[in-house]
Formats: sequence, structure tokens, C-alpha cells
Amino acid sequence: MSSEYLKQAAILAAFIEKVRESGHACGETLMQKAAYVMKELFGVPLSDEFRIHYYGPFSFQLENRLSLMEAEDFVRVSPREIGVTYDVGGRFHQLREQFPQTLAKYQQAIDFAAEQLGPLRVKELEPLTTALFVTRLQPTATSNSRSSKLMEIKPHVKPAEAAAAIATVDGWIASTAE
Amino acid sequence: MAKEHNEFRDPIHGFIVLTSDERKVVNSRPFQRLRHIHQLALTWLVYPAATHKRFEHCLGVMDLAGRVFDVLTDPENRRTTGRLKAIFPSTDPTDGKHRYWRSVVRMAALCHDLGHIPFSHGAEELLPKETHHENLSVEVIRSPLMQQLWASMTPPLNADHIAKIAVGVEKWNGETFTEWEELMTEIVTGDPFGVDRIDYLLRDSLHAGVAYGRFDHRRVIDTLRILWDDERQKAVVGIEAGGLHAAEGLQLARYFMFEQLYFHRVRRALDVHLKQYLRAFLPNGTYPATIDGHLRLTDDHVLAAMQDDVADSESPRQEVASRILQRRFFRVLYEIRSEDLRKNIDAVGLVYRAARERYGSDQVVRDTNINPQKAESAAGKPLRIAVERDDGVVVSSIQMSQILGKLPKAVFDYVFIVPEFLEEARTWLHENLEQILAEKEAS
Repeated sequence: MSSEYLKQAAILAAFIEKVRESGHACGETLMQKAAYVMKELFGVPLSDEFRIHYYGPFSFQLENRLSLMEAEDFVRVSPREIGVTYDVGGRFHQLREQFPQTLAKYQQAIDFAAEQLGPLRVKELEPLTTALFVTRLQPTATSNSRSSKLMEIKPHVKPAEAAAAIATVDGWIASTAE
Repeated sequence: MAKEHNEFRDPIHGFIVLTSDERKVVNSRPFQRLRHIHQLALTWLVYPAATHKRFEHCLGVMDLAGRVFDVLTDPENRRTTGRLKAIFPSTDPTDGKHRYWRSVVRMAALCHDLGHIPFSHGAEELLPKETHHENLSVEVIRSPLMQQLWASMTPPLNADHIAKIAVGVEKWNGETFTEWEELMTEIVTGDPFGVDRIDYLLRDSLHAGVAYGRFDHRRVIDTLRILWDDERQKAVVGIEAGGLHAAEGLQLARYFMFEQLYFHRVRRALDVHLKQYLRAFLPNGTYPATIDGHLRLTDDHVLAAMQDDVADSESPRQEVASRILQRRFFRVLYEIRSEDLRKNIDAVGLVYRAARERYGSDQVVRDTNINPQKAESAAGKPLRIAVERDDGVVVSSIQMSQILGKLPKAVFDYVFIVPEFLEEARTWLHENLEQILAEKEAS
């Protein structure tokens, strides 16, 4: 395992800790979407490649990464009524001790993703993160054009939901650029 | 008159029966080439009987794919409540649509490895950038030679249907999968119930003489069902509760096979040398990206050259060829130790960097699957599958099985060193390990 792998593990596990401390479950979909948002909005150095798949941006590499982290007890998985939730594992404290500077550097990204995405359900995460994907794809396009693109990618998303998702993402981008 | 059915004897599945259309594919040049691609690269230098080839594996995968398709679509096994009602393209298992998809799934299973380069996964990183063997499988399936075959079949088959099902969602670059296509590719490529995996575990286990790979695959297959996964809001291939122990057996087999065979230290060292050899052997150090170049190259060509190189003192490849064929391969200097990881979570990385600094970067190599960019990183990952309880409710296996959630994932992280330095390096490491492990994150 490389230092880069460990640093990325530290950031993801710290996100899980933050979400769980807020009293929310941290399922597989939330992990995927939060990792994407942290990477795209804050430049968090996650090397996984995302494309549109299950409920918006999705990375098979991140799926592998999380299973490796589970194997090393950086994270744990436990059942809930529907599906599973991640928790930090018994060896997360070592990541925190080993990489304090990395965690401090990306704390704002972790807090943002946990606060903005942690309380959301899968059906709410999907249009929002797809809106970010579309905005990265067409950064100069108008809101209407990006809303249309979002609905083209996710035909079940309604026009009002698409427009709201684009507006929220524009707000995120503006606030993180400040 | 052409024979309607053809058989192969197979040590795992008994007689494998093929239709005449399938026989045409087996007789094609791309498929016959698989007789010359070892299933397990150079593993036969460790486990001498592991000399089996991709050819028989693909026949086995096709046989199993047909069986799984029949189980999943059997009217008695269909779940038709809620959104599952609209999943099946046909309610009549004797009609054309049903038979078409059965042919596609079997053909995809037969062709799923047509893109395998020499030595299978042993040196895949020498493929041109952004290419993997699945891309080549797609290109071969779409090639004019194969298109002729698809068009001549009864009914004619769509090459893209075959290619999609053969390589799966993750490796497919193109039009999105329909819900049905996703289920069909799960039969072949799925994790954990894909028949590719079922066949290679059973076959590799038999040929390597490693009994841990056996499990009750017939029971697994008989209890597979298309189920509705509420969390993922989609149809998936899951299992009836009665098959759960068989699924646990599959997971155990997978774990042991990775630990015992696929991640064996000598096998991994040989792969390191194989890559070094091929970098020197192949033009520009990469495998050809064209179909013609791909079809011309097999293990036989490389092994013949390697034998020549060992005997030729003038050859620049003699050194690395002899490391492989005369067993002068690198030895393990250090590997993951839990007691050291408790002291420093980056223990292997620190030892690797310190050893390279001391002995030189050519003399020390690190090999690990703890890298999400590597295909082996997914090996033996914890299983979470949809299980249908006896009362019809579908739950995650994590709620039903003590074993599936608890088994460790197979990981390896080796620091290899040239054998000539091994003894000296061991002494050096013993004397300096504590100091090496004391390093923390640099500011």
C-alpha cells in the first residue's frame, strides 16, 4: 500500500466519522457521491475515476478502495434496515495519527460533504451529483441547458428537480470559490 | 449434413455440448489461439500441473452460463411481483426472444476471453495505455471475421449484445446497458455469482492440486434467482436462503485460492520478471494494439524466445530469462506484518523505500494488490449479496450470514530483493527496522 493510498483512506474514513457523529447512516451510495463532490469541488486528491452509472457519478475503483479499507479495518460495514452503513474501523486512529496534516488540509471538504450530503437520501443525491457532473462537463452552458442535459442522462428526474439541483450546485461552486 | 451437436470432454463439467453455431466460433482463429494462452501465466513453474489454458476455461464458462440462464428464466423460479414483472423479455421460454438471449449469453461466455494477451493477467500492464484485455475482446467480437459468423447464425446474433454481456458494465465503453442486459452480464461477469469466477476457481483448483477451491457450485447455481434489491432499487442476481451455505463455500474457496495460489509469493515474483522480460521482448515494450498483432502473439512465441535467450550469453534478455527459467527469481525480503503495521501503518512502504535507497532501484521491487487502480485489488472482496428469505423478503447477506461479513479480504504486499543480496539485506533490515518504522508524515 502506498502513502497516497493511505492518505486517501484517511480522508474517506474521516468523512465517515463525521457523518456518523451527525447521527446519519453512511451507505455505499453516499460514499460514492461524497467522494465525487470532495474531489470535484475541493480538489481532494482521490485518484478514482468517476462516470455516470448507479445514481449518478460512480467509480468502480472507489468501490475497490472501500473494500480494501474494510479489509484493513480502516472502515467497517454493518447492516441497517435497508442496506448497510459504514463506520470507522479499529485502525482508523492510526490513519489519523499518521496523516494529521493531510486531514487538516482537507477538513473543510470533509465537513462540507458531511453537512450537505450526509442527511440526503439516494433519490436526492442522484440529481445533485449528476448536476455537478453535467456542470463540469459543460462549465459555460446555461442553467437551462445543463438542466436539459441532466434530464437526458437521468430521464426520471423531473424538470423542477433538475433546475433546483443545478441551482444548488452553482451555489456550491460559488461558495467554494470564495 | 452438419452435425447439430458437438461435445468436448471436460474434467470439471463432464461433457460440454455445443450447437453447430457455437462450434463455428470454437473453430475460428481467435478462439483456437486460446489453446496457447496459459490460464495462470507462469504458475506452472510453482504448481507443475497448472498448465491448463484459456481454451477449456471458456468452454466451461459457456456451459455454466447456459445452466444459469435456464435456472434464472425457469417459470417456476421467476419472481413476478412489483417491478420484476417487466424484467423478462418473454414469458414463454420456447419463443424466439428467449432463445435469442440464451444464445447471446452462451456466446458471450464463450468469447469473454478472446482478448487475453499472452500469459493472461501476468503482464496486463504492458497493454497500451487505457487498454485492457476486455477492450480487445470487444474488438475481436466486432471484427469482420467474427461478424461474418454472427450473421450466419440462426437467428443472427448482434455483435454488440455479445460484447456487452462478455465484458460487463465496468469495462464497457458505449451505449448504456438495459436492465435485462445488466442481468445477463451478471451471469457471466458478476460478482460473486458470475460463471467466469465459478469456472476458474474449480478449474484452477483442480489443475493446481489445491483442494480449497472446491465448493458446491451446483447448489449455488440451482438457488440463483432474479430478485429485487430495495436499497439499490434494481433487479439483481441473488440467491434463495437455501443456497446461502453454498454461497459461503464459494466465498471461502475464493479467499483460500487467492491466499494459496493467485497471490503466492513465487508466482508474484515470476510475474515481476515476466513483465521485465516482455518489456525487452515486445516492440516498444508494449503489447500490440491491433487485432492482427494480438492474434499473432501467444505464450508459445514468448517461451520459445525465452529459452533461446537463456542459452545466449550475448542476449540482453539472458539475465531476466534465466531468473525465470533457472529459478533465480527475486525473494521476499519483507511482507505485511500486523505487529509492524501497529507501529506504522505505512510499514511496507517505508521498508521498500529504505531498501531501494540502500541496494538500488533495480535490485528491489514492491508488488501489492492494495491499489484500487489494479484489477487484483478487487480480489476476494467481502460479499454482499441479495438473499431471499423463506418468507419471500429480500435482505442483504450481511444480515443472514455470519461468514460472508467476517471473512478477511485477500491482500498481499511484498518487498522483493535480488537473491544475491538476500542474506545481507535480512541482517540489515533486522538491525534497522525499528528506526525505519519510526518515520511519520513529512511536512
